Amino acid sequence: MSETGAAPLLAVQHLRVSGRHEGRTFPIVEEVSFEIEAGRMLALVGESGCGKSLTAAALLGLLPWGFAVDQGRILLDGQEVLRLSRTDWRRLRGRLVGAVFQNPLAALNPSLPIWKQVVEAAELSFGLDRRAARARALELLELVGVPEAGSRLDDYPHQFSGGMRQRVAIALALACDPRLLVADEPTTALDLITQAEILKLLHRLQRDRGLAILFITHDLSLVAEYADEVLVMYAGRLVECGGVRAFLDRSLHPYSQALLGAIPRLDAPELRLTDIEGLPPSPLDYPPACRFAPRCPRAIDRCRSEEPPRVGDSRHWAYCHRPCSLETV
Amino acid sequence: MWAMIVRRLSVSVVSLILLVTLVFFMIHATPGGPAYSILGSHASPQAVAALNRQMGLDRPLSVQYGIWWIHLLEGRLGYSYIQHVGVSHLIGTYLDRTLALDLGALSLSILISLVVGLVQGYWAERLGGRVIGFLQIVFYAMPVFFTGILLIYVFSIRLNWLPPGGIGHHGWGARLRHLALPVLTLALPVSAGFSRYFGHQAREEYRQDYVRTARARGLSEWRIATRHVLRNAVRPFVTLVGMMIPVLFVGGVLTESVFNYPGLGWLLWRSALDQDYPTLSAITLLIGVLTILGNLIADLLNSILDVRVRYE
Amino acid sequence: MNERASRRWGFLPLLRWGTFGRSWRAAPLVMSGLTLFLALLAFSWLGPWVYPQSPYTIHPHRLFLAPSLQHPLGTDDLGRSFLARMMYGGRPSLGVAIVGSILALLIGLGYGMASGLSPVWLDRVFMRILDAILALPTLILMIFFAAIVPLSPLSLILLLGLLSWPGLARIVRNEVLAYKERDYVLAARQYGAGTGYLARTHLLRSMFPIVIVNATFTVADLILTLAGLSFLGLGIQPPQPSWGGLLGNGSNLAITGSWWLILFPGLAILLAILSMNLVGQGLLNRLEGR
Repeated sequence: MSETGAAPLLAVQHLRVSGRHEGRTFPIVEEVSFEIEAGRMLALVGESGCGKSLTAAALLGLLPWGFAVDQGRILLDGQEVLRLSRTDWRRLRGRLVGAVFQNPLAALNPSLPIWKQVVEAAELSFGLDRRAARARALELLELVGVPEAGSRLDDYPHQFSGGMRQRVAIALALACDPRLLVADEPTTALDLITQAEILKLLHRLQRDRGLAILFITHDLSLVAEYADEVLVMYAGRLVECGGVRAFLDRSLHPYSQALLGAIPRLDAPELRLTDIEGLPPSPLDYPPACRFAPRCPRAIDRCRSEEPPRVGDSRHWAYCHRPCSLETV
Repeated sequence: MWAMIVRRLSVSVVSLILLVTLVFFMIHATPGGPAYSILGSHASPQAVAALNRQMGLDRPLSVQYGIWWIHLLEGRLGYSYIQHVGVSHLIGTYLDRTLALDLGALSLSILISLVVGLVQGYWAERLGGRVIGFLQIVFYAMPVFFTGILLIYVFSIRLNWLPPGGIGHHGWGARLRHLALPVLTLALPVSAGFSRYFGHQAREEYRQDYVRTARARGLSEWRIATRHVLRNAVRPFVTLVGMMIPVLFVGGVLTESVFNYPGLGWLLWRSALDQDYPTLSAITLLIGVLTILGNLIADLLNSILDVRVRYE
Repeated sequence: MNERASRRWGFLPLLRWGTFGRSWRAAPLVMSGLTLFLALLAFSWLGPWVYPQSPYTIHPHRLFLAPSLQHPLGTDDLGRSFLARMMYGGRPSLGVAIVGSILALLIGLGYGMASGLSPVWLDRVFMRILDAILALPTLILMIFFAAIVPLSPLSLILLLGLLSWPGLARIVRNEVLAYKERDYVLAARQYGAGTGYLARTHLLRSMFPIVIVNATFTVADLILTLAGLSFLGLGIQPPQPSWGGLLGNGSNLAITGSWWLILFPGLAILLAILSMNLVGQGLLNRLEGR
């Protein structure tokens, strides 16, 4: 995958995020490790509540009050951000990382004209004057494809449609030419056509500017088209990782299979949609051993007593006692 | 919107009429009539009759009521027989002192509550936020005359840092030193009210996504607070000022009395104790009118802003 | 709607004594406020049984004594026991405010009901008048009244009650308007229930929680107004003690360094207002489901 073997842009190693509940600390996200290289899109997939957004928040240093990273390392461009001071980390992420979230209206300050918001971070980092700042804002809005951007600089967020707001939000994230974009469910609040446009935009940015994208979603159908690699998360742990083609063709983990089975397919309408029985567990009582076992159709006794081993190769692996496509166990 | 403005104006007019009428009938309900209270209870019947004739007090009540209105509208507020000056003259000298106190307290409390409210919003889930919330309840319940006298006891009598009351006559320094404690006293309950409201507002803003995106873009907490949260949280500020106007005016009367600060409130108090009815009724009317007008302006501004700000 | 109703009524068990411990955990604000207020009431009305000293007897040989075992809250400028004066002073300070609030509550209920149940045009007239009265500054008018006629506790109750009802009346009226549209009220009308019957059975019950909340705030307001008035020497007249009057006297004597003459009456007023605000705020939080 990596052509030179240089250090990846972002490396997460054995990350654990814990929360407090009624005075007790307990892990919500555990043993999360992955890497992203420049110019690639990594999709982090899972049901809501599985810990994917918390993982993103940890990467961005935006964990809500009461949550903390208490194990693991986050290496951003070779720097271990958890060891940096708060201010240094803030500066680093301002320069290197951009973020886009789910609700594009809420993501914009309703009482500031958009051009000010778009260039705010750049102004602070590079000290632009007003003229340069407006020019930069125009450039960014054009980059993300806001039509007639020149005449819309002084508009307020509520004057934009949902899709346009998300474009503006992406422009905000790109203000300082970041090398990594964390997109946490950026299209969930949008209609299907707008979703596709936003994803094409992200794809273009990734291709043309070598932007690395961590794309967090619960929607595997989007992943198939745009992502390079897929990470599947369940109940706070990674369960499968692989290149997108390999993953789609031969997914290893029963949970991934179940997720794929829940996508309607136009090319094979005779296949029935399957759904997953039961609900994902609460972080307060994760099941022992394999966390998916209680809902898993393939589960055997071992799944409930022994931690699942890692199966597959270095490019495509899963944690499972009875992986689907790899009948070696 | 115009209908609303007309309706609101009519309410204020009714308030004013009610106030003026109430004061008129109370003055004329004094035992022995106004003449006795002006001349003192030992006045001779001849003197009382003369004064009654001179002031038109021997005419029917309805005529007097009409005259009362005409005088008020012409701005003739009468003559203080205790202080031996025209009431309008008295009010002129005392009004700007009251304005200095009230505006000082208002500015100080806005300043305090912006800072406290932002901190409270930022600390919403932490112990600090709760401590601030508790202090707000306590300070809101704290009567100004208690705060005032505690401050006098500590800063004037024990520490001897600031004058215990009165007003400085020699230069700005002295004036400010005399204003310091009264302004602080009056600002405390107002700040408690302001900052409680503002803190809730800031807390709501801090929960918004745009704060998260701002953090993700690497903006400093200071900038997020001042540029983003503050901007959105101050929107209902006019409402706030409107809500606090009665607290400010009424608290001002008590504060001035505690500190013997010769403003309108103090004058009201003294004239009540001295039974100086012309002064008393004029000031009651004036403070009443100011309160009514203050409420009116705040309400109007608020609804106009509301129409403009509303979106979605 | 069911859930909303249960939230509205959720605090009612708090008013029952059997569930004391549970109530305390469920609504610490309400319970601490209530406890504090009851303690102040007990101090004022039951205190003299425990500490039977006269608040009026003058002792020229023991003026300005600081608090000690013998004189728990010290003595004042005339050598009177300050603890006894504090106890007797609580009676008018709290009593006038409570009775005045009840009066305001009754007027407010009557006016609000009348306004809410009237035809629309009359309701508008009622509301304009109410707004006009609401805009009058209570303390200023009270100072004015007090200067013209010396006020006894009874006339203080009457005046405070007469000036304090509009806020309550407006809330009652809004509740009436809201509940007029409720299904069970419409149903009752359907089977021929009269307006008076409806007012008694349904409306009064349904507006009870919000009215109680605002009544507690009214008590706090009246305690403050009365204390302010007495502090200015225009409320309860000496030698009868009241917390506001004691504080006023203490502040005139502040120069003598008698801190106890300031601190104790001031604290008493503060705690009385605070306790009622806590009860009101706590109930309000529960009502709004926060």
